[in-house]
Amino acid sequence: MGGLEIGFLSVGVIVLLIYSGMHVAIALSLVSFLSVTLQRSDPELAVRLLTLAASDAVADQTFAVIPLFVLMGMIMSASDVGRDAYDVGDHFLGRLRGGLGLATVASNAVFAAVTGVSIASAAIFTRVAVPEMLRLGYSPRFAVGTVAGSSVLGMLIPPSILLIIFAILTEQSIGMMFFAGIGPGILLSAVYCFGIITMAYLTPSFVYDRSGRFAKPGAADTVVHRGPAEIAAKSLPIVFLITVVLCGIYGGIFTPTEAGAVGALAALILAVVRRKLSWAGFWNVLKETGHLTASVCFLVIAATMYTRSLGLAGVPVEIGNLVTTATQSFLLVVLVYILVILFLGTIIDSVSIILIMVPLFLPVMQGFDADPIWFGIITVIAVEVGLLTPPLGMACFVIKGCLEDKRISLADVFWGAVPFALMMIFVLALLTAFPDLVYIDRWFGMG
Amino acid sequence: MKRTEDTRLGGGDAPEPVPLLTPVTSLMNALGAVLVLVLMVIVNIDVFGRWLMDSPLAGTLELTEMGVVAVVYLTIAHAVAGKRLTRSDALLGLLDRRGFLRSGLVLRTAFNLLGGVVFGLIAIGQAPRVVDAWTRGYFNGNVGIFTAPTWPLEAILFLGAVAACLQFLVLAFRRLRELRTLRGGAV
Repeated sequence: MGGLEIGFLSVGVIVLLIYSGMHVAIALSLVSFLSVTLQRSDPELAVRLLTLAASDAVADQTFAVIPLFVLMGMIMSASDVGRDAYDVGDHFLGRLRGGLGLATVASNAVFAAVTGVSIASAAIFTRVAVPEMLRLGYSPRFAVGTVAGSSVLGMLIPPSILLIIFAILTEQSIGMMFFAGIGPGILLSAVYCFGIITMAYLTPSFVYDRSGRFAKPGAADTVVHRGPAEIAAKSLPIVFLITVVLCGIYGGIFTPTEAGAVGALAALILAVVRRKLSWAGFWNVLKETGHLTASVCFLVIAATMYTRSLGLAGVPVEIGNLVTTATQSFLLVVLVYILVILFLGTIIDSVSIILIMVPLFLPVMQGFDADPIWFGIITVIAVEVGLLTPPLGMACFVIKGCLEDKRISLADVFWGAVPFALMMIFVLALLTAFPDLVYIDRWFGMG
Repeated sequence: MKRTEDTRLGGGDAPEPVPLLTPVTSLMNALGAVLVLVLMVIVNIDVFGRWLMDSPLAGTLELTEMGVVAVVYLTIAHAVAGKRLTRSDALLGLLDRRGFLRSGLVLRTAFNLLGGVVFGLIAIGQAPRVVDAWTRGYFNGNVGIFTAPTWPLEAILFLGAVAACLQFLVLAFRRLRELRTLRGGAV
């Protein structure tokens, strides 16, 4: 068996094992181990490769970005900042048609700028936004769908774990990757808002619940009045934190790792000053950060083994040659790539898809002289569609798990998310047609 | 065991306890959690030291680098015990719902065993590295500015791999036991 056959066989086996439910990191490392053993018929070398990846794959200061930004996001989540952001959005947008949907999208976009994990946003906004929307007569499907759709912004708007992992994997600058997430993040939010308003006017039965089973009678008439002082108190902490992190990175004051540490400290001080975080809560946040770091970093370790075993078999070069001889059409390659990701996204989680697919397709994209930063953004959005699609839509599961109203089923969550998944695909198409949209600084100078 | 009352952060980190192993993994996990905080503090001292007093903290780069690896291996066994390692349970869930309990359990047993094998292999490969780091006195950093011996980190890596391996074997054993009671019940 040649290197290429072993390489392809191992990719196939990995996907099969993951689909049948093996732990992703275990599948990646086990198959890499077997593939190296087969190629070199030397199990000792394979063990050495495994151990080397286990110790050096994440031994880099850049990886400290992961626990630090996770910590910052967790502290912010535990200290009710999500609710505050939603209250502010509600204050300004609540009275428009479909306004609570707009408020959910807007506050999620802002909250995304302090957290790097979509799942956290999905959980928080299910608790905060869904009851409010139901109370005011929005339909349950629309309410959960909006939360699912807008939670995706957490992974697109920096800081984002997926952008960090992509940057590390492809040796791009994390700062540049973060910057490239801002424009598409705003674009996607705008498309969502436009879509919500359109649905509110054209298909009101999807947005509003006519049966009144979920609404509280007369709730629409009682308006909660919030004074400017309350609005300021609720929006200042999050605005302050976003300013520290983003200005710090782009003002050249800190590296992303340092921004994560300073941001986490600032979030901690804010939470303590506002008396929003107990000792027990803080201890849970720390332990949770440790767990998340372990599971994400161990995935990276396993993916490093996989990438190295593929490299040993010469797969990346071969696949690059194969694709360029098969077709000259860049668009076709992008289309195939996105379709494969959407397909994998129905079952495998986001980080794993990136770790499996990017090493295979990066050389192909380089063969076409594609911009790796653009490639990263396309990958992240395509992968995030998978959060919304059954059978394994992580965001939808989390939302269902956090719902207090048991009358809303998992199927409702998936159906509600469909328009948002379609809007994401629309944004993917836009970004493919106009790659410059990725860079927000080129938006107005495109001519 | 105490269960976190707040699941919005994905809490619920209460593994089924095992004598000896669970106290050890819980202790390692707590150390990992503290280390996350230490990382934050170190980087902040470096940033503010450089900024305000023009005196960065020597060794920040090396310490954070080693810190991340340590956090991963200190918490990995606890993450395994709490079933927090990423997996797709679409098929396993389907098998459970359709009543194919036995095939589901067989798969789970096999996957846990293989998890044990992978961490076992890492531990086997890691053992000589711990010995080397200790006997030859390997260090990280630049002489004269900051140096840290690498053996503590290599030892943590080894212990973490061993603990994760054992934890996977415990899980495999449990699934096997459930399989046997299932068989007993069917007869």
